[in-house]
Amino acid sequence: HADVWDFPSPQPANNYISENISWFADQVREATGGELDLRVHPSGTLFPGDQIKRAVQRDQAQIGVHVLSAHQNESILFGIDSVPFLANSFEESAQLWEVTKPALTELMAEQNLQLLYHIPWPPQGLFFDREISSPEDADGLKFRAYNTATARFAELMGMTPTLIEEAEISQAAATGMVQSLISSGDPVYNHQLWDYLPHFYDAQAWLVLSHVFVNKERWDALDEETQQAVLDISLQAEQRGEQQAKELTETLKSQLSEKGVSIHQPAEKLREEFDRIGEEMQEEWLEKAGDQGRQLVEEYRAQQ
Amino acid sequence: MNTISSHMVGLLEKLYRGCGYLAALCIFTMLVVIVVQVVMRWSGVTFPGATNYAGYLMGASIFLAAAYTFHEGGHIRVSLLVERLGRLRPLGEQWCLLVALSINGFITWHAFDATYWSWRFGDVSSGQDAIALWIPQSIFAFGSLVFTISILDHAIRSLAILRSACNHCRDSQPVRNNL
Amino acid sequence: MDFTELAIALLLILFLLLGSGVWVALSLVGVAIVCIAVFTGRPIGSSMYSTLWTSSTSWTLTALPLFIWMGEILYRTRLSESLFRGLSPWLGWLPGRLMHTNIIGCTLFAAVSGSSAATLTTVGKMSMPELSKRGYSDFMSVGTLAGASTLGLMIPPSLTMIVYGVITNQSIPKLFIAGIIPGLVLAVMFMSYVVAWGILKKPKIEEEQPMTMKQRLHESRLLIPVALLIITVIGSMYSGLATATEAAALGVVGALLLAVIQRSLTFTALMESLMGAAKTSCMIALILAGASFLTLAMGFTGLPRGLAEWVGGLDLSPFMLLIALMFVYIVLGCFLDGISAVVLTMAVVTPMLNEAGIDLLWFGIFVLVMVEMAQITPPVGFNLFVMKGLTHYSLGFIAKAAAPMFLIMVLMAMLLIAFPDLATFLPSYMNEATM
Ligand code: NA
Ligand code: NA
Repeated sequence: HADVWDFPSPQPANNYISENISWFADQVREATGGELDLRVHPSGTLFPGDQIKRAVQRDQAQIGVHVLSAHQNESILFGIDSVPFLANSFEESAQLWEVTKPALTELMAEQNLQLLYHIPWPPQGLFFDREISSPEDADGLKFRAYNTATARFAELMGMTPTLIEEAEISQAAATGMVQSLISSGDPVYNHQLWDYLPHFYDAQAWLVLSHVFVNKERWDALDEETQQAVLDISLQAEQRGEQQAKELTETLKSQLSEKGVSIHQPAEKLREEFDRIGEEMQEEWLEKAGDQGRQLVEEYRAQQ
Repeated sequence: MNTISSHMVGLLEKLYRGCGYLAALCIFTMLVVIVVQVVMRWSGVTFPGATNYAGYLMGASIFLAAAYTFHEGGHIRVSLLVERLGRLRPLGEQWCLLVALSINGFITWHAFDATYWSWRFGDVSSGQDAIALWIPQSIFAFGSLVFTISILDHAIRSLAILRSACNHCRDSQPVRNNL
Repeated sequence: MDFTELAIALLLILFLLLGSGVWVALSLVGVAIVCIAVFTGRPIGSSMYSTLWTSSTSWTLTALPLFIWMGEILYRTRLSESLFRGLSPWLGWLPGRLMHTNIIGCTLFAAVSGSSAATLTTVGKMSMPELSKRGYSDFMSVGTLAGASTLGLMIPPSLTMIVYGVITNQSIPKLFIAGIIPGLVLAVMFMSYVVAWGILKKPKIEEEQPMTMKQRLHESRLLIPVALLIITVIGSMYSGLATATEAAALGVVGALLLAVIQRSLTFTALMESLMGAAKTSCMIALILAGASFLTLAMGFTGLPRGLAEWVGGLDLSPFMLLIALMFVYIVLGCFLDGISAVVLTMAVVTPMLNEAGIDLLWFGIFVLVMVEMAQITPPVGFNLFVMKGLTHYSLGFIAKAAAPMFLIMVLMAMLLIAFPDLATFLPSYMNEATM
């Protein structure tokens, strides 16, 4: 009889992440002749994003997708994709992934998880409520921070980090409680924040990655043939995901500019400021990351 | 025997009430945390993890207040059928209490189990508070343990009523209890 | 899995536990446990624990205990009495008279809070005793309060709209604006019901003294503190001083300040208000946590999605599709809290709506009426539970009292279908204004 696996995703059904894993689920079902039936639950219906990793660890769900960098409190290595300006294009992000994959797989295995593949998000850019031609223009603006790293980024930019939960973001932007934020553009589009934050700076700060992982006991219980089939499909889904993210990067820009957002390339002074912040935050990260993190970053930099 | 049990009853009531006061304190502290966060934001300073702390305080207050609320009859139920059972009412009450006891015992067991594993694995919150999760979780577990004790306490009292009702079967009127 | 079999089994267990008098929160947990154990192979204990934990520590829920506490404070000050004395000269001419304060109070407080439980406890705590004291029928009070407090979901700010907006990619500010007119229309319909009651039943209520305009205005000064409190809370949200959740905390601080100024809050009363808030929010939050575990169990079984897929397979005209969905949400709403039913089915329903050419923004308001209904339909109706906590009337009595309000909401849903502009007019204006 068929093995039914629940597959929670934090993103709504029409988001490319949920679309990608639905495609993955269909392929797996087909390849295994229905023996492995993955049921996608979008929009955090089964478990909210933050809970998905733990739910898969404990077999409440058997497979899941979530951004690992949300769990960097557990291990700093999970946050390696979100170190500012370390890997800021799709190519570099893919290289960083190749370098870090073995270490991440090992770390996940210790937590009873099998890492399958990753899907990148479009590069993170900065949204402002006004035009920013030099770093001074951003001084004192209220910046929505969602973790320690983004709060630090705001401080280094001379902005005031403000903590706003996702559910309250549109009210906060509408009332000027938030004057700037960093995002891939997707949330800005989904929450329709373009009226309030009409200036986008293509900073390409980093690429957030979503990861697909399976409960390890479930994984080990599959026969080798099925495992190989799933791995093959993962590879295809990963390539599809990267392609989708690249297309989305362009679509988002055109969609946002249709809604009246001006898309800027950061002026030279701003670019220099970003570089300075990047260097500083990379140093700070390396200090915390220990030998393993330092080795991985060195290995990655050597390939540049 | 009687003095021991009445002593016990007094102690338990103190326990429920004490937990109730703690729950009230949690709500008050939650208010302070949120107000401090708002005022700090007005002055351009952040309070990392404030929303998480407020959440834990609320969770703590809910579970700490559970036994007290139960003892005071604050948890609601559909009492239509039980009230119409007449002299069989103590039996009906016993059924409700036993079901409640097993469900809540199950919750308590898993609350302790989950807290233990959080501690063993060193689980930390993914929010900015980055707190070790076993700390707020153990308050949750403690609260649900006290809740279970209060249900057990009521079940034993109701059993005593049931026994005395059986003893006076012949000449008794419908028995009421104060649950 | 045969869904009919599953649905019948779940219904039986739910009725057995709830009906025999097991406490509501624990009954919901019990049904969910049986559901997962019998119909799915998932681990029960650990998924139960994660759901209870997540639900009881969520940031957006913190507004609930705070608003309840605010209600407890106001109830212990002279504010609630002054509210009634201030309003009564103005409502004397209207059939049903002070009964309208329930609806007006809920509509005003709906603009302050994002949840119906908070609206109900705050307004109910103040108005129930005052109305009873003045000889108004408790049946009417209970019904109008249970129904009108659901406006807390429709009139912005609204937690439910945020959830809907995030799932369907609809603009949350637009949804908020779209809710205003339907919310007010619904309030007027509730008031018409009270008027009809006043005319038909001719309730025996104490006559209020006739007053001159000057006296009326003089009495109205009593409304000032309440008005100030409401303006502070709403103002803090719209000026960007606080988020909708934080505004609840400012409301408590405001209520405490008013109480101190009026010198009507002793330390004992303060402690009592806190203990009362702890008790009520514990009762409500435990039921919410139990309901979210039941939602998880339903998600595992795929029952709500199956139901929506079944409707999708019927190949209906847009009008019939809406009627069928309304039926599905009413049925699901009897057992789940309304927004969970929506979340569990949205992935299936959205494509159906797109195909039928139904605007998702409009559907958000339509669905919100369904969510409001679910609050007052037995056996699992949130406002019924909260009302029971407030009054100690039986759930049957409360459900019966709220039944006319349910019918009014069905009528409202029909009105929305007939006049979609009710929901889309204001947001479309908003579009043009910003272009
Ligand atoms: Na509201
Ligand atoms: Na209901």
